[in-house]
Amino acid sequence: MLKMQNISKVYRTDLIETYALREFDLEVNEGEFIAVTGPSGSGKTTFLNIAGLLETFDHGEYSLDGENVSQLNDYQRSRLRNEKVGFIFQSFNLIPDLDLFDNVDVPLRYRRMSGRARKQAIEGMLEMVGLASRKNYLPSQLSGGQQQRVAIARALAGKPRFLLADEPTGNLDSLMARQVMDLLESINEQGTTIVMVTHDHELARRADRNIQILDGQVSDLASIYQARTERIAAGE
Amino acid sequence: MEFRPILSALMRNKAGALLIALQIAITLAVVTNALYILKQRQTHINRPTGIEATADAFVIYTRVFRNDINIEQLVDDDLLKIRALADLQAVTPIQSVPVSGGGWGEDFYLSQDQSSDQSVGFGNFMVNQDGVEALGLDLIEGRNFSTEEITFRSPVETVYPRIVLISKPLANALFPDGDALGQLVYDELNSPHPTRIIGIYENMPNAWPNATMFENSALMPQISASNDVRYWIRAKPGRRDQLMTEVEQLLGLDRNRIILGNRTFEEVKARTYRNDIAMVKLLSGVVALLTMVTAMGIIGLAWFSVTQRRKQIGTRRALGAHKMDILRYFMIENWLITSAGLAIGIVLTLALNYFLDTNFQTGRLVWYYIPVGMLFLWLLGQLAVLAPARKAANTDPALATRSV
Amino acid sequence: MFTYYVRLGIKSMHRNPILSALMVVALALGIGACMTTLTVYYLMSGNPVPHKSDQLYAVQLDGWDPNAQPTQGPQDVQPQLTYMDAQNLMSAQTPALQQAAMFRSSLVVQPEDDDAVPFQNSVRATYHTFFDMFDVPFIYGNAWTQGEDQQGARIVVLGKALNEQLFGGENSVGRDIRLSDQLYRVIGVIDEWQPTPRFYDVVTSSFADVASLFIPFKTAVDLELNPNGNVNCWKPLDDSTNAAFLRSECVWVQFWAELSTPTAADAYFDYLNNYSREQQGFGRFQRPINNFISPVMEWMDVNQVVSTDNRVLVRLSFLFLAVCVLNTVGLLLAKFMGKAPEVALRRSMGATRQAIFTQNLFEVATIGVLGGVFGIALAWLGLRLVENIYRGYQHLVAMDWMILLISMLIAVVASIIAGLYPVWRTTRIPPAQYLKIQ
Repeated sequence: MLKMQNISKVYRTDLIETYALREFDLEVNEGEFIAVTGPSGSGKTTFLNIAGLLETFDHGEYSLDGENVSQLNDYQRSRLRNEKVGFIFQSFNLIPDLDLFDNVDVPLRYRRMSGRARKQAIEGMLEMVGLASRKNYLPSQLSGGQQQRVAIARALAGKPRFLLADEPTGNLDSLMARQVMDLLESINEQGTTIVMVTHDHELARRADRNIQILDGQVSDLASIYQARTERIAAGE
Repeated sequence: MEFRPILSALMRNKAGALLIALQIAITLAVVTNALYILKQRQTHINRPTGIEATADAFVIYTRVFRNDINIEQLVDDDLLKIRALADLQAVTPIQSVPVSGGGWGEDFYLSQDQSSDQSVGFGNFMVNQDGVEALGLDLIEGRNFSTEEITFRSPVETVYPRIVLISKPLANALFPDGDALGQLVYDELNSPHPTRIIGIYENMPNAWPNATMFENSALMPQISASNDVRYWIRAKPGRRDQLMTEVEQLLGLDRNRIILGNRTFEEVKARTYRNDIAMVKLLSGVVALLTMVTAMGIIGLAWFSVTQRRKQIGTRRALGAHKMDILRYFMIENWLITSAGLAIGIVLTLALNYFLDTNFQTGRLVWYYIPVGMLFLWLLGQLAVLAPARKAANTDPALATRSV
Repeated sequence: MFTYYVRLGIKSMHRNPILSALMVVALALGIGACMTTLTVYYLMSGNPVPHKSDQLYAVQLDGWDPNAQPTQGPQDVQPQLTYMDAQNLMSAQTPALQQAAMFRSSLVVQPEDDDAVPFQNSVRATYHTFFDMFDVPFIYGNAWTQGEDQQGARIVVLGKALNEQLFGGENSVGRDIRLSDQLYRVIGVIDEWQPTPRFYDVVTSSFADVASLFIPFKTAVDLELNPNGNVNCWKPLDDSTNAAFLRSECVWVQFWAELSTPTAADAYFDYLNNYSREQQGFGRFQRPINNFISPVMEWMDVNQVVSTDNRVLVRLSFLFLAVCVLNTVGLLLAKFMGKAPEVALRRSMGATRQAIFTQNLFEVATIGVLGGVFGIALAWLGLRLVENIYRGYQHLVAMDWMILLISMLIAVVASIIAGLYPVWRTTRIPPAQYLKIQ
């Protein structure tokens, strides 16, 4: 599904060069649910941005769903993002003056779809996250948890095969966080590959696989596989 | 607070600052040039006329349209009736009106055998013995006409009167030595009839404000006996409007003529200068609107940058910046942008002035318009930025810790 | 997608109503000011007889004072002819298709009704050829004939408005009318006709009303009507009789010739030069021959029909528009900076740069259209203002479709210039930077 080899990303200012990612290698399989953890500044978000084609990288190879991304121009990357990738964010990033329906509509607007098909997809998604009755509400009229559910509905409206979540529960209390997590798990069960950045280890443990990023590199793969084996052993 | 952090913050939003600076630059160029043209026009309009009766005088224009009317009799009757009115100061028939744009032009020659381009042109005004008083002229040398010296000039008359009153500028043009009084002049080449200058008045312009010889005028002791009968009437101070109505009613009774117009001298002037007055008004409009738009731009951008930087300002406040510091920050920022704009503006102003002067002869800008304009725009910028800056200064320091 | 973008544009303007209003106001003011000055300029510099302006020529002869400055171009030569020269040319066989001499005067109209107050009206004394040369439209009757020109018949052609006033708009041909104590017979009534500028007489006022009375030239001369325009003399009159005035070197007659081809124009010009030589033989025209014939639009230039004041104002108003556009660019940049998070989000959802560009262009276009519409409204107000402060400009403040078209064009160009850079900038927003914190 996702294959990064030897990726490097450097931020340059007049004075210094900072490596956000350094010879980064990662492979994510179809249908996996992966949690990425690491301290702030370790390169988690850069990884996510590169994975979601929001940023380019300086060295290395990245293929998404078999397509070599480094060769694509901005237009092609946008199209690919629209078709294959969904994003959810810590602060939900709903457009404040669009209602829920229009917010979920955003990714659908950028592909050729009839009005009716769009309407069906949007309503289906809102139904799934349990907010169909509030489709004409503005985001500010919802709680944080509800807003994040709308954001998930929006991310999934275009039926992407790959969902990227950046601290999706960071702004939520633990009850809401658990609900959102339940939702993500059920989405994953239906076949969507999920990569979630989090610093909550408890949530991370609910993923199929945990990856820790330290100084722009995946740290100690062995320990991660070990954690996974333990979970299997524990019969989860 | 030092400039450097403000300057470096500015450099990060180069486009916004540059746009304001450019606006300021063009505004300076337009405002100074427009004000300069405007001031010239005002000076042109407000040139002294030497006519003391300006505020009390009016002119009534009538036309006799029947062929069998004795004009001399009619004028004598009119004068008798008008003189009987209580509000009257003085009345004279007049065949053309100073500053009105239309009149009689003549030339005086110093001798009979001079060639024509050495003559002096002037505007000729035919009045009676009350003309000097009705116009309110300041007779500085010689004497006025006497009643007996006034004659009617029939439309086929060829000869000019033997005596004349002239303006000081005309006297100086004819006799630069200042000895015009009592001298003889000739109304045409080979004229056997010289005309004697019996008096000189300080000033009265002729009918053509754009002529180079605008100050050259002469009064002749004649009443034009043509179908166009006009009177210059001076009312007692403050009684002009009442007298205008009275005279109009009086002359309107006559079914042999129509009243073509009844205008105060101020209206006559305003009509003559209407294009200049219009230009003054339109240029004032341009200056006012431009000032408004530029101020709006400054306010709009400052307001926006304040909103954008709320968190940063809150942080500064939380770190101990006084309201005054924040206010000053925005004022200095605006001052820097305005100054940069004005620097470009000076060049632009001179370029625009050069362009307008070469193409439309608007005249060379007097230097002090530039510093005055700059001062004005500095002030405008500071005033415009005041409201957004105060909003910034009132930012709650607690914003620093809150996520927006 | 069209309606979607329009909806988004309106929503976005709603988000910062004050900022949006400032932009619309700035654009509208700039466009309004430009349109006002341009309309006046356009009408001042308009072609009053588009279909034959290149066939109608103003005629100038240099027979001025031999001691005066030598003349160069047509602007130095007297714009009018003496009565003598006008008469000579009118009665000669010239290469012109037709010619017309004319001058403006005034007459007192005495309505038949004794209670009605007589009033003064301006009158144009000319030849029958005037109406055909200048394509004057008639409602009733016709122009007079050559014979009536020669007789100096007491006949008159009325303007439409005066015919309304005197005869209630009926066909008044054959009726009598008293003008300054003389009876005239109405021979024709013309329709609405107001060439702007009034090209055939630009010596005094180029934008005045067309006279509402037309009488034969000879009639006016016989009745000794005074010309109401400029009378310029370089040589004293023999005496003050009208006969002396007519044979004087005073210029006061406007003179036009219709020359349908360049060949005819050349032939006519040669004719004039021969005429000048002939007059030199009689002791007149003691200057180097310097005659001119100028077709209508050239004549407008020679006489500076478009005032320099107006030209200055047009320049200044475009600078004003430039400030307004810069203003709008600044405000738009600020505004779109505030939209960066939304743009970033849309990019993350797969919006291409083109899509972002189009979306924001719609917003800018909405502002442009609003600015344009309000600008035209302001221009209309501005023109009323101009009408108010420039008396006699009523023909210069009309808006026609051409002006509306130009207004819209200026509005569109101004808003595109104002909007293009800010919109382009939005497509360059790096999405990753704006997604993390909102």
